Amino acid sequence: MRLFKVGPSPFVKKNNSVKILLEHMILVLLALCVVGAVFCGYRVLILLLISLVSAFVFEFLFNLVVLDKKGLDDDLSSIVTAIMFTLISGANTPLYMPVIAMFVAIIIVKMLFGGFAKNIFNPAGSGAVVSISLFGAVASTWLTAGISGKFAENPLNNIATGNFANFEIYDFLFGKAGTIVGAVCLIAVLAGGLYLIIMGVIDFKIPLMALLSFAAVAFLLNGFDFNIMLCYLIGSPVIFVSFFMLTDYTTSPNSFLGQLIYCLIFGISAYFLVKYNVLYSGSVLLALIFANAFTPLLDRVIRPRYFGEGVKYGQ
Amino acid sequence: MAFANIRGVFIRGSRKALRNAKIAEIKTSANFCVPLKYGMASESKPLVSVGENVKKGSVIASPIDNSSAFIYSPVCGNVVAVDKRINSNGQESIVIEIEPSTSKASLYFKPIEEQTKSNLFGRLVECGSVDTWGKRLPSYKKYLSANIRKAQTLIVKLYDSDGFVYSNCFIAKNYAKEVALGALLYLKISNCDEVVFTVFDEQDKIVSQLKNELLNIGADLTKIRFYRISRKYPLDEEHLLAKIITRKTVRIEHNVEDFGVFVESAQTCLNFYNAVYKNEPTISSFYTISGNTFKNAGVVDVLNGTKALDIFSEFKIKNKEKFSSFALGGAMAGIAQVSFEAELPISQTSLVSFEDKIYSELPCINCGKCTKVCPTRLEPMALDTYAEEKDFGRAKKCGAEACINCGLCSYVCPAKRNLAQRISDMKDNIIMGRTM
Repeated sequence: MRLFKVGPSPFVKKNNSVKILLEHMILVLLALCVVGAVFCGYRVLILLLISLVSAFVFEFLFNLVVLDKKGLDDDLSSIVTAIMFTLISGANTPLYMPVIAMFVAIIIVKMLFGGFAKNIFNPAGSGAVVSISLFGAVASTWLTAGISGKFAENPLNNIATGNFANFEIYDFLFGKAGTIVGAVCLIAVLAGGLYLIIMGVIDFKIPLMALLSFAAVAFLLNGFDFNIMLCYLIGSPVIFVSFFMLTDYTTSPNSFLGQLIYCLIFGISAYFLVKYNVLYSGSVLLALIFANAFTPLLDRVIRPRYFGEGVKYGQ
Repeated sequence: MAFANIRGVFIRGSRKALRNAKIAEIKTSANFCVPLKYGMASESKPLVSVGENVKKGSVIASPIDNSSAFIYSPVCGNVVAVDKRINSNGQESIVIEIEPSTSKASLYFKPIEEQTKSNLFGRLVECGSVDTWGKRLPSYKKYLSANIRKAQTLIVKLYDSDGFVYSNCFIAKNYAKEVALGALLYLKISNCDEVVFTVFDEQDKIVSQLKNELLNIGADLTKIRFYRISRKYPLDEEHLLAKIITRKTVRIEHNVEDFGVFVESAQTCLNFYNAVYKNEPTISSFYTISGNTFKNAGVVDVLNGTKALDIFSEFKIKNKEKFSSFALGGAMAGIAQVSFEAELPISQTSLVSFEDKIYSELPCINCGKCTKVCPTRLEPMALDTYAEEKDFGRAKKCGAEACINCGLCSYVCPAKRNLAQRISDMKDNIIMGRTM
């Protein structure tokens, strides 16, 4: 006799899963890596390899030593973290840097907080922030993309010194500017973001609100100068971060109001950190980490009014 | 206003096989097992004992209070057993097992002499009609005298919002006259100001047919409205329906009829019509047979207490390897059955079966998709955490009692968490006053 297998309703489920969502993300991030390698040279791929290997090694070691479990986790989150770190570092990054960043990202930020989807801060972002803070002396040189030309140095230095003369939007759109690997070609970043929005992986509201708040602050505090606002937008990696890192499910709030406050915190703090060049290209990441810290509070305090809340019986 | 629009999902392609569903005949071979308890209603009192001979339509159980119904024998035959069993709703109740005989004798009501309000209400009580949605209480319970004074709107659902169910729409399409007359009977006993027919599938056809029938009857068209429902699940829930049609917010814990809104479906209108004009008690309901394990989908007029194996002998399974189970009551909020012996009561409208798919639960990734679809604007993932921690106090504060068990949170969850199940279990515990 065949036994019945009985599960809870619903008996049909939507054709999506965490794995599919992460696969879409990995596809876009890998494509951005390839674009970065085309513009910044093969060194990007070496960085990617080191990040991936060190992420796997740290995950394996943590599982073995602390959790007493052999093998890697079957989710794809450490791959996303490793690729993300490659994209937010410059092409001239010393090759030992990914190892330090992945230690912070995988062990401290992800695994010690309880593993996949339990982290409060973005792992790749906090790994980068910690490594930039530790090696601040060399950071100003290694956070560039290794492109010869007028933006061989980080454009963030130009923003900090108020030198907006050299900025041309064309350079940033087609990979002529020395910024982080992911943001080297803004056309690719926008295309990747659009792909993720169409596939339903990310919500368009978070990047839109974040970019609008950042741009609004830059516009208001620079004498209503549209060009300076544009320089802030394209010169700092804020577009890349708001499309791919700010929208991370785990570290962003769920309610619309919460998302608005989160994006305002990000936009305003990112502007000031970029303006005073606190952490070179880590400035925007520091703003991201700062906004992430508010997410648990926002999720707890702001909740939707459920059906019939505040109504005594019915009205 | 507590909330502005109703959220939900539309399951694409789910009705493809059902659009042209034909009524199918089934041969009943097994004994009929009639349960004396449907859903949340209380149990009726059996009036027959083992060995007794019953006719088709003779009464076999009578109500004990305001929330139980008269129950009639679906066939001629002998009572084989009257004992406590687990019925297909998962509850323990008395089940009367009847062995069918070849006799065709039937016992129906006497015709109503005059269609006064009290006569019609009496007929509604004795016909044994049961709601096919929600708590599945007897149809007459809504129209008890205390509610009638506040009566304002009568809503008649001519659709099933579950994507794999088609019963009400099928009835509205093929029995337009009966549904129109039945709805007018409900209007008469409820004193409502207006009838609102809500349509969803094949809107134009059903609306034009129904309008024709209402004109032929000579009904007062000023009292009748048609409302097109947007293409979303779960819009058949009484409180949500009352909200979008009358703008009244009624808390989920309370009944909408206490606030002047009455909800009926095409099935209950047909039941009332049969009881008044044909003098037949309610002994059958229209079942939709669908799901991707069946070779063909269809609609069947199922007698009360028919066993599921009779359905499976008519509707063949496509791939026996992939068949795992079947469910009564729709794909989204139905109840999975454990054997082919399960009986089909008149309080359900569908039998669905889907291919075996095993999902493993992952930790919540906080994506917020469940919050976006919840029709009562709850936060399923927060409630899920409280359910796992058994923190019922905080869950109550977050509105766990407003959950309508629609199953949408589980449907959209990318981590495949069984949110709906845990939340509804917790809701039951809260309602029963259990605390951990």
